[in-house]
Amino acid sequence: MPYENKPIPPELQDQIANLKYLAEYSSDLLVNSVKIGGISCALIGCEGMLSTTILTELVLQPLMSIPPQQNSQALFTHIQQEMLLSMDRPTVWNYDDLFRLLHSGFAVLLAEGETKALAFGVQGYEKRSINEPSGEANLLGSHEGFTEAIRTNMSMLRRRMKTPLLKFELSSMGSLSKTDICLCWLTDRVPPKLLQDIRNSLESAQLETVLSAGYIQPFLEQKRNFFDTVSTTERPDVLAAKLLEGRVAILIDGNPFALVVPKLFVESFQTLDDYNFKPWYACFLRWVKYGAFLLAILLPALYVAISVHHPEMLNRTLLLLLSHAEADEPLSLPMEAIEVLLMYEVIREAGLRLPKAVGGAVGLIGGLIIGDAAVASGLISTPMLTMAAISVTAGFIIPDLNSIITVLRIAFILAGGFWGLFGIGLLGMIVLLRVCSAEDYGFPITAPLSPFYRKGMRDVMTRVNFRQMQSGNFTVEEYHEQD
Amino acid sequence: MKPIALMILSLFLITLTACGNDSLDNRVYTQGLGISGGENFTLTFQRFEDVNSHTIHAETLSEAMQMQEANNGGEIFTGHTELLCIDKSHTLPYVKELFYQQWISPSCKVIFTNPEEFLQNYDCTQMVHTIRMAEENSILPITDLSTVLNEWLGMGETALLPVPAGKLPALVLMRQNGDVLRLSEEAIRGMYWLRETGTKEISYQGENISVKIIRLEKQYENETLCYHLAVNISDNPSEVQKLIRSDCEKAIAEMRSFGADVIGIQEAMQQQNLDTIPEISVKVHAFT
Amino acid sequence: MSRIDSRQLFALLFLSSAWNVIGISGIYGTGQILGALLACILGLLLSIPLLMLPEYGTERIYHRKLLCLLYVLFFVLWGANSLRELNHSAPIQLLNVSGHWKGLVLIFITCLLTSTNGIKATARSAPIILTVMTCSALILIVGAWKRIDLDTLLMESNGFKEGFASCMTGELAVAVVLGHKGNLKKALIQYFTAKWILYSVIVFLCLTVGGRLLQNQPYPFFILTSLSQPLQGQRADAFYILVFVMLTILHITLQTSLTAHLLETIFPKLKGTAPISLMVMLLLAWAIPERVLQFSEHCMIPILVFAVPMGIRLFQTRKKVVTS
Repeated sequence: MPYENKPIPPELQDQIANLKYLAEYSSDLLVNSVKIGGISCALIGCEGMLSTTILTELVLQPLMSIPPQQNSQALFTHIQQEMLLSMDRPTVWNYDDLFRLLHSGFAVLLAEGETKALAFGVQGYEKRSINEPSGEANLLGSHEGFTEAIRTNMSMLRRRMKTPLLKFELSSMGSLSKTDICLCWLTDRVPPKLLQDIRNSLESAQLETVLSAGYIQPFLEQKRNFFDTVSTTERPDVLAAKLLEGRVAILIDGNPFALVVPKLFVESFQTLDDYNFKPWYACFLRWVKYGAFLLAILLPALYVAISVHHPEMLNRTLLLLLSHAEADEPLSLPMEAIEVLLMYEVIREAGLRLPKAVGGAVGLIGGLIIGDAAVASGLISTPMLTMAAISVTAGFIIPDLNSIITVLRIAFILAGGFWGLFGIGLLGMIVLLRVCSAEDYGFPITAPLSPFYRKGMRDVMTRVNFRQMQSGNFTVEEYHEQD
Repeated sequence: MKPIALMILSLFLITLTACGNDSLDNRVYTQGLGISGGENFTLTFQRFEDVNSHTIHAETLSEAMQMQEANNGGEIFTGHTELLCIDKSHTLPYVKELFYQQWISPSCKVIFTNPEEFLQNYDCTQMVHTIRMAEENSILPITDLSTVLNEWLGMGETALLPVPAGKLPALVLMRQNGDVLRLSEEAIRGMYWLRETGTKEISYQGENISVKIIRLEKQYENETLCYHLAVNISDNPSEVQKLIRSDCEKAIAEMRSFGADVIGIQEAMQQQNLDTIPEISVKVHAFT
Repeated sequence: MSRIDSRQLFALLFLSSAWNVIGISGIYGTGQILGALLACILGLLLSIPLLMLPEYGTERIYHRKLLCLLYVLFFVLWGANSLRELNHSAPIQLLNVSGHWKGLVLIFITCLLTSTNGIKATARSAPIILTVMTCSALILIVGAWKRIDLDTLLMESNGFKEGFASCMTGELAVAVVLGHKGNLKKALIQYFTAKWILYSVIVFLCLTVGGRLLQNQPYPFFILTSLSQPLQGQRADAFYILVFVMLTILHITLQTSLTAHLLETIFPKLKGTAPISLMVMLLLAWAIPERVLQFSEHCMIPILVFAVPMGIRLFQTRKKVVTS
């Protein structure tokens, strides 16, 4: 970048000229020339980013009441040492920092004869209020979710973990966007090596912009794998729980999702509600989720494989029922299954992208018209539609694994359609070994199942009582495998 | 490049899913299967929910199945076949092929009859139901494919098979080569006592008496192979005991007259290292 | 390579040998159970030098490239033998692919893909597959329970030699390569115990459930699965194709991954060690006669399991004596 590390010249006119030139004379750049304490100054801001009320009351009024100063250095010394205009008061030494702060909602004060600038945190840009996260609903817990403002997210986390051991480390990523990112961890839980490895990974990312968590995620995954080794969450309470287990989180400005490293595969089946219910009910729900995962991936494939290649496994009555149902179908069973699932994906995606006012119609079109009409016209059989519906509904229980379930479901249908249970077995082994090979920073995602950790199983196979869980000081470091 | 190649491969595989797959309804789901060996092999089958039967003549079982697929369309599916009908001809090789190739379920019932005639005139559902009820009510011993084949391949080389006969099926002794002897009613009851376990209801002087088989042991004593049958009789123990013993002796007599063994005489001889068949007696120990 | 724990090692060894156990070529009598017991006891005795190695035995082997090559040769021969056996096995004939060659090709391609994940992934997957296998074994026993006829046990007492031969397999060499002080003892004792139990249960069920039906039949386990019907009116034998496939893939992947792992130790710059290993196994399976393969594999087992660790132990003892 041409202006990176470009120092601020001493002449105010040059300072303002450089600023306007580097900003390409952008219309949102506000430059107010004013004399403060007898010294020519300029207060710079970005339209829409500042809170005019805070700026007026806390910055402008105090500044205008400064007595005359000898020179700009004295002025800046007076402001820094004898006035408290805002909590966040960084000093700016180059245009790179100046623009970053300006575009983060700071007001910047330039003075004639000074090669530095003072910035005041008077952010007042519009931001979304704290809402319940759409993807991680919860019955008995908090209904707060992260927002796009990183500092709000940091405050939400801090409110839940008042310990001084919770550390935030702010930095920026993206050569153009200069997006603020914040590394969060509990200092007594996280191994130093993990932290350093994560820092190295982030530094190796040569991105221009960071617009969402997905931009950073690939750099945190050391090996490319079909399965995610970095988890995301929109909930501060969930994030706090993960930090307690010795993980590291990355908050990204402009994105309500926090990235958490390392991830375990079993985490996808855990929700915060599990810890609000009684252990026996939570345990029951867990097992329902495990079963739902298998149903979501395997049910259509097993239906196709058994019906086509191993019909002797079906009950005679069921077999005859299916045979009659499929008698008038023009397509083969695997093709029918793929057709139904692809149609579901189209409807789902359409429902997601459509404006809310029209979105409800998608349900009507998809469910009643397409589903009913397709069955009535004989394009799809009722048993196949039922299997697909059960599989899809089961997949909704684990939204975290939605992308994996979608692709694997179709892959298993192909394998089962071609080669029956043999094909499903082959593909199952490929997938299993792929899952088992997934690890990040030395943490295998299949822990605590394999490698087996008895202590970890208390929250996997069952959900033990909090009286038992409160002891142990468990952290994920126990899962780390040395190389 | 790799993701593109994978996508193209997936699309190709998806398009192939329409080809080469047996449609679910393009199979002939047979409920009853009849095989007849001899000079020409004959395969008869009856579909589910269809009382009509179809017959195919060929050289071998596999050829008959292929002919059905080629001429009439639809592969014969025997995975759910409930009834296998065999006749006097040498059908053991075909039965073995059906079993060892896992084409047919081991719990399929086997009956002795003229396959073509039976499958043309009778509904398999009824026959299967009758046999199952008879087995559950302890009238007939278990006679499924695995049991029949086990006996044919055993030392006795003889199996017990039901044969359609009026309200309740009768029983025949059938050798591997197809020779058959029909057993009397007493012998059928006797066979049950000498082979099965469980509880059986018998009628004595107009009353239903429950008899539970506790244990059956074979012991060689005084140059006699003795079958010790311990039973629990609910009423009239001494008379019922005599009746049971008489039935057993009748069964053994008819079996020996046919030169057959379906009650483990050969195995007992092997254990005792005997070369000739000893005298056989039955002792019934009744408990109330 | 990070160390695998005793559970993973046990699962690897057990599942690898389970493939051989369910593929037993015939049922001869109760003597097979005794033969298997003797084979397991002998295996445990053979592994005593390995257990006596004071430090991490595998590191001693890794330091010596010649020894590594010896183990590579064994794993390649073992893998080639497994591929050959696979060609003959009954389930391959029963697979619903047109021609069993397609089934073999598919298995080969799958093993190519799975072995590239490395030995760690294979070790992690083993306990999960063990869980599936345990469930399927329980289903098999429950389904076969009502058909058990204990009288058939007394009929045949042959099969001692066959039982002994079935249980002398190459998994001990895996224990030498993957074992270390923390995992060996427990894993080996569990492995031999579980192997003998599995073998005995299968022979017992085949004798008592199958009786005459399974005698002199190749690969009786797969006929046993058709006799074991937990539910009337439905057959579950096709489910065991799934179990067979999982065990086959794990067995061959283990051999390939180990070979690849040792090759990477000997030649660190060599790429694609897993596909190379599998290709070499295939070549040997095709080129070398079956008897020669089996003979070579069985001859090498005592050398790799007993002689090498014993040699290392003696060398260490002598070094200590000389130093002191």
